[in-house]
Amino acid sequence: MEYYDVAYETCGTDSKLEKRLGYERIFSSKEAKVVDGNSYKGSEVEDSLFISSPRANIMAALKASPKAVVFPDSRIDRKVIKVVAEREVALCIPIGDLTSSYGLQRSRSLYMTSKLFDYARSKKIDVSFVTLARDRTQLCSYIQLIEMAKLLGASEEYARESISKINKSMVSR
Amino acid sequence: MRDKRRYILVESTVDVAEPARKQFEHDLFKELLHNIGETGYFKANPKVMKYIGSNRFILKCSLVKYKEMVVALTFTKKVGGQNLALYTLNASGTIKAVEKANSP
Repeated sequence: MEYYDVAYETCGTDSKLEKRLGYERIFSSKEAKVVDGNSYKGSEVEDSLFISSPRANIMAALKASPKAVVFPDSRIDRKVIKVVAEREVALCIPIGDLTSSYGLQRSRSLYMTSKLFDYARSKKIDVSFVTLARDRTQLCSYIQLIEMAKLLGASEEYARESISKINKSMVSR
Repeated sequence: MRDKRRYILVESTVDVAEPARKQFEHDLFKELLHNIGETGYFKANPKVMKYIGSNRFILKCSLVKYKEMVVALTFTKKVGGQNLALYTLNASGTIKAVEKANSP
């Protein structure tokens, strides 16, 4: 099985690092068209990996057909999730943010994210696990990504499928 | 009966120099203890078996706590006040197999 990840260019990944970490490719944020919800143009959203923010109009963004959406606060907004499911947008969970926090904050984030994962899967939404790392300390190997997905409630089979097929489809769809 | 073991090949983003290895292990185990708790740590019983080069080492832990150990390593972002990341490159039931995976 071939595994894929998405990380920012600031990580400075290369093919040697990708191979060591067990990935076929670590896509850059440019390749995955990562769009920050804090400052974006409506035309950029189509086929992008849209990172939601309180400033962004998430409903309008979802209508512009992004490939995947990230909810950094992991809160469950049932109306939004319903639209995500209807429009067949994938839900992307950034593991790098979870691993770089600490203590109680991390425990809370893990709880919120696992609930979001369960709810999204109950609505048959594709869930993708990526590091979305901003630097090398946020990166992790495919083994670690699978274990993190399992910690959040995914089965071994789903975790592997997510990191291979769903992550690849976010770039090539 | 002897406990089943898992050997994990770990790569650190920072080099661990020869004289600082004992201190590094002490600080690493403190972090792992924080991440998996006292009961988890006692069941995992982690131990650094050997270093490979300046930034890789083989960590031994019990098979039953292998998954928790991988997560604990993922959560470890600071050892002895130094920011780092620990990548789990491979895992196996024998040191020999892990070492084989390490060779290019």
